[in-house]
Amino acid sequence: MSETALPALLEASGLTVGWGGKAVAEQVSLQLSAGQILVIAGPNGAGKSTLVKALARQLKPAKGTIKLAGSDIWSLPPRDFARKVSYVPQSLEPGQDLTVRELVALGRNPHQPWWSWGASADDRQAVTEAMEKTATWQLRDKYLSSLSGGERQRAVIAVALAQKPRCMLLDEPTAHLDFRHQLELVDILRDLRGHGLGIVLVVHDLNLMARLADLILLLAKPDDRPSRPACLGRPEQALSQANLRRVYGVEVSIVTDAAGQPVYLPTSSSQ
Amino acid sequence: MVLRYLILVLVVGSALALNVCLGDVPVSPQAAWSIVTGPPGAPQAGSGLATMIWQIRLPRLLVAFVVGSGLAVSGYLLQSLSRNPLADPYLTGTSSGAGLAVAAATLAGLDFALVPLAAFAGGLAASTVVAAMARSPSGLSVSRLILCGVALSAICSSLITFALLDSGDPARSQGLFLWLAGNIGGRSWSELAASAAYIAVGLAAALVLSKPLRLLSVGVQSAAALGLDVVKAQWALLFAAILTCGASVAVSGLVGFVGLIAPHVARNLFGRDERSHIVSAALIGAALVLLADLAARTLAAGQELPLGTLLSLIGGPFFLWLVLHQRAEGL
Repeated sequence: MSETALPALLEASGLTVGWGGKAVAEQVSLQLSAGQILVIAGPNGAGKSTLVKALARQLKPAKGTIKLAGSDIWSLPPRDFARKVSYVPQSLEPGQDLTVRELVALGRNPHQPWWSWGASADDRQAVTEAMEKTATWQLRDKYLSSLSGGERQRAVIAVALAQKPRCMLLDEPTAHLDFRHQLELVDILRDLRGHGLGIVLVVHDLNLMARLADLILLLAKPDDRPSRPACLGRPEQALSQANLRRVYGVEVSIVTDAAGQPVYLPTSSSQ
Repeated sequence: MVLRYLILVLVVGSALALNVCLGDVPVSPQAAWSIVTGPPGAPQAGSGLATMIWQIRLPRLLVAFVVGSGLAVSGYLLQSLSRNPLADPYLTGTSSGAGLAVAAATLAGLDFALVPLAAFAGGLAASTVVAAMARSPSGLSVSRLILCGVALSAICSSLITFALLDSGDPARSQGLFLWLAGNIGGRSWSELAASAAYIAVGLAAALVLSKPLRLLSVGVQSAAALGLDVVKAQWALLFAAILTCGASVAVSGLVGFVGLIAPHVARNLFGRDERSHIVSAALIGAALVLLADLAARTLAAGQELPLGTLLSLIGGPFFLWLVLHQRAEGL
């Protein structure tokens, strides 16, 4: 993989992010190229979601800059940004009950005039494709309130796909998914990577991230201080026993499965 | 859906017709028809009926129509914006701000033609204060909007009461008191035209902003992620809500609960499309105020009940029902 040969799609340097003047994570720098998957990992409270929010232009960083293909993300109009970057939050809070199809259609908003309800052929095709990819097509006329947590999660991912972005940011997209749909999501993300998308996601499962990530940003949270990157590197490098002990305080044995893939087995808390 | 719209239009139409014909002096439908379709400038010589219809009943029923739709649209926008079905122009301080401005303007002896403008400015000022206090980094905070609105309403109400007690002009205080209780009688064609123009602009803005309204309904975060300039959209929608509410208060005083009931009925009976909600809420609000005003004029012979008081009698129980209903849904 020649990460440096590709132009940086998303680039953060010297970020401090937090809420109300209180820093949650600091000194974060990262580079994401087209066709790469970057996983942000770390213990609870390490600021993974906050960091993704900052990358998604939902939260202004206290320090540092974030650039999308060379331009500061805060200098872009919101619609331009949304055409290039989609964000899947941890949860959706619909005030009004929509059907899955109505929700996914909203993903086309950045491609339409802001007042317009009309959908072009492109719009309809993107919406159908996004629903087929996420296996939500058969749910298209169901109300969001009638969906299970996993179905809802897939519908929200379909919205992000319908945006046809160059970069996707997902905050714990596997949280509500059962085993099978987790694997299906992994396939979707790999397929998108194959099509040149840059993807950032927060995941907790070590084995999932080891299989999916090109790069892992591991955040370490010292007591009472903002977290800092402990490592930014390839999975086998980031997920070393020493790193995992330091960041999570957990002993992990690493074995190799039949296909030669490393398998991570947390064995005991080291404290 | 078409059938429901047909029924709604029929209800509004009959309410309009009844308001022309019924009153202390009943007018037959045929006579009313020939007067209304005749030339407005030159009522048939010597016809007291024509004068009464053109100078009293028509402006009054049109004011009822305009006020009803204005309050309904304002309520719909505020409910959608705050994502709270209990929000209405009163809860967000808009109406009370407008009311206080009217009280101040009247007591200061401002020419009545300028009072509606003062009401609009007051509504705008109150809402701006509330919205500014409710601002958070990610847009307007819902609960703060309501809480600040309620507090500001309370402050405005007591200021109005002090102003009335302290005015030293019983006649003027009495007039103001009637106006504040909600009263749409005795409005001129020019006052009607002014408030109708404001409300038409607000209604058009609401329709144009219906897509941003839907985006906001999936949450501020998601709306921003889908490319909506959330703060701008919220301000634009809030401005449309103030415009429609302020113009209504200016011409009718404090007519309550229309902004609560009409949007609720619209949401339940007229689909899920925001544009359909806006149009149907406007018509439902119009029908509500037309029928309430008809009742206010005709229930007690020789005496007129205050419109606002009558609507509160319907609206209060409705509000309580909504609260109880929400509790049943686990809120």
